[in-house]
Amino acid sequence: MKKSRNAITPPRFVVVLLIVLAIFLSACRNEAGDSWPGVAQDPDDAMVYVANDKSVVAVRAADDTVTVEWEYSDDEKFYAVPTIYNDMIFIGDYKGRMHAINRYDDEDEGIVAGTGEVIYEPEEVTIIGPLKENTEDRIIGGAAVNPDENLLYFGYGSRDVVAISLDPDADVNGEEWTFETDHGVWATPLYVPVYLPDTFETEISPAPDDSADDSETDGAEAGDDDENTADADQAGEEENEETTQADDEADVGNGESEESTDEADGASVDETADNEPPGDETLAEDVAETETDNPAVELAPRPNAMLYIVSLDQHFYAVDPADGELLWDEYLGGAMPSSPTHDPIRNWAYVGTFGSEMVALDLAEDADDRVVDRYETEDWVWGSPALVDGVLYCADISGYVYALTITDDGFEEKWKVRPTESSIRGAPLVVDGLVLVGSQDNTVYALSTEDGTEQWSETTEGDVLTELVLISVLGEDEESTSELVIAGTSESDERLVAYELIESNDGKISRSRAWAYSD
Amino acid sequence: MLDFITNPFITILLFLYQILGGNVVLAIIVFTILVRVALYPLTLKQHRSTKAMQQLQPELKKLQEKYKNDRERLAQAQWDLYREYGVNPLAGCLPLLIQLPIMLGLYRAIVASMAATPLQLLELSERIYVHPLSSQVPLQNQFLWLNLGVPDPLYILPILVVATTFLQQKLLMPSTPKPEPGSGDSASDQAAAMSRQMMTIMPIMFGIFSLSFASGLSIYFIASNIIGIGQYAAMGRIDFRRILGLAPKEEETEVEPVKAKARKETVSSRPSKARPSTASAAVSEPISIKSSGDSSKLVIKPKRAGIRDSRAERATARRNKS
Repeated sequence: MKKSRNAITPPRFVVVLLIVLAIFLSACRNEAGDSWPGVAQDPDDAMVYVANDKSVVAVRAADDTVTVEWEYSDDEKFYAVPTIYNDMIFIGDYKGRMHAINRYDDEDEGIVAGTGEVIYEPEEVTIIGPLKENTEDRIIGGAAVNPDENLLYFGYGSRDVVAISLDPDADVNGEEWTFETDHGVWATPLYVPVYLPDTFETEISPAPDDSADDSETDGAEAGDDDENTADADQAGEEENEETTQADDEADVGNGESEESTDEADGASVDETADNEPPGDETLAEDVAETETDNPAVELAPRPNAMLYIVSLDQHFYAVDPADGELLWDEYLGGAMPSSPTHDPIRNWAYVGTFGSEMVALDLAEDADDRVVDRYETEDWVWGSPALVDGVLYCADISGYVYALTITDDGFEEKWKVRPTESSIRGAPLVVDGLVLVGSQDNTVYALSTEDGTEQWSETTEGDVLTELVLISVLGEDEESTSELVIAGTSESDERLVAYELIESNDGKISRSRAWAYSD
Repeated sequence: MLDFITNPFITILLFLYQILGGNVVLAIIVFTILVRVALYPLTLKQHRSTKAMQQLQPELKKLQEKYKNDRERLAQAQWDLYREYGVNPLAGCLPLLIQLPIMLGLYRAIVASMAATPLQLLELSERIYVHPLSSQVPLQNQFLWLNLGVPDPLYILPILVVATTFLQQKLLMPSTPKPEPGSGDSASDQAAAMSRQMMTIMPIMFGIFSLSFASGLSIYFIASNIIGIGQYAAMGRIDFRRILGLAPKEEETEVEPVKAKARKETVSSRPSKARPSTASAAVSEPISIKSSGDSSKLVIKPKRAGIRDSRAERATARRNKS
């Protein structure tokens, strides 16, 4: 029997094609997902917070187990790195709302851990009649806290940075100020508080008057010019104390850079306190904590608190944290998706760009040349760099890891290796002589800080695009402590996986898998 | 699946973005023009084939009436008619099949370039072939009131997408007269109904896409529709009077016997592979077809006008001999 050649008429065929087209177009839409889990840790409490999809989970880590403390859920997605501040967690969602979540129970106050509320949401703007512009936008990065003025800063996926008050009486839509860039701000803003050493006697530019409003200790840093000059010694002392606290808090609030600085903390404490005396190159954010005990370390003075914002518009902005006024900006020729790392000794900032560069900037207010040096990498540098003992560690999305010694002239390459050809997105974690990086090839690599040689690697269920975090936990005897490296992955079966670092007799650091958390 | 098309497109789009001063809307428009121009020969071929099919409709209708109770004979008669006039009923689909992956690649390139989330951006980084261009990423997503990475909050672009898609459909769809009640021409009615449905479904479908996809893609849809209209207008194939609700202009079009000449030259030198025709006459004469829609006469010259069907003659000779 002959087949009818009129079985498929052209119009019907076109309809079939249209259906195929519709399926293709629909399938294309969500080909790539949204993001990777945001992970943050509270080193004092062995708690790890992971934000993924529509929930934020708090887990308590032990050396061989993990328990879920609470879960906070919402109808919108969370991928930002949670910001820990006092007894609260701050995290933005993909609808542009900022949530505040209670970390602990407080029976006296009637507070239940894991409960929270929206403390800020963008307003809907009416255009004409029922037509409204939905100004909601994604919050992709973490938030930074300014404890001096009780402000919270965070960026939006499209262009704005918003400062809101943490005052419990503040309105839900009560912005203190907004700062607009020409593209999205995916990086956590970097808040750098005032620091004035005892010997600082040069002319001090006055701090913004507004900064004296609410802070208990603001008199020292935010008084008028005369007060600052006359009471320099006293101010120095008070500010040293305050800087210690503020640096801690700024670190906590630094979102993506938080892990690197905290990681740097861990390494720095171990290596500088136990193994090597701190020299001129010794550096880490934690140096600020011990500065009064360590006269060998001199930090650069910072007469005014500053807020640094990096944007996908390829600009590095310095703004007044009190009112959001632009103080200066620098075009760096590449988008910056992650926070800069602050160097308190030189008062420099290091930031990686999509222009395949690591850039060092001088943050001094009177700097002539803002850009100190540029180091060309093989590909985009997405994660924040980690600064430990005067060496900057960073990685790119072609799988290269770099160690750059910081000198007065800028960068000097110490080593450069390529443990994988897959993307290394997060910041390196430096601990116990190891540089740990997570990769898109479902692997955590441990490299030697000395020469970059691979010490070991561990395979996970999913890609490791989040920041690795380090946490110390008490052993079963409740005396010894164990160090756990925790990686967040894209697979729900292994949302978090922890490796215990073990020092062998020959001094090498090995690892064993401690636990995995699935959601 | 279409990465071999999408990835080079992303690179070209980034290059255009760079040389056009970082204006992503301009880059999308220029890129769409370039792709449409490159696909112009295929579009032309598709259009010619569609036009020829349209012109054969009266004749097909007659056949359908003649063989309405015998589908097999109807199919054979239709096939012979197509062969006689050198028309391939699926020829209009082949260019479309070639264009489809290219247009899908373009679509995917624009979606990928408008990366609005971290994971999309990471995926985009793996698709850029020329490394220096990667410093352009992410593309500037602000244009007028629009964030090109998200749908238009004012619904202006979705409305424009629906309007331009409808306009293009209206301009390009062959005029299909409404069937007369009780005419009994079910196949023709079905095709006409389908055409009308498409004219409704297509704009709505693309409008829904525009409501939920990045507005950068809506820019592409609008640009593509306008360029498409422009292309057909340049070909002189658009009857603007129909849009204004005026009577269509009279047309008299000839379907070119495209390959007839060449075959005429070779027909005597090699045996024809043509299937035996059911037509009674071995030599076809030009026929005149009166369109049912208007009073004008469409003159279609048979492709094999004047060509002797040697195979049929040989078959007749054999029959006579036996």
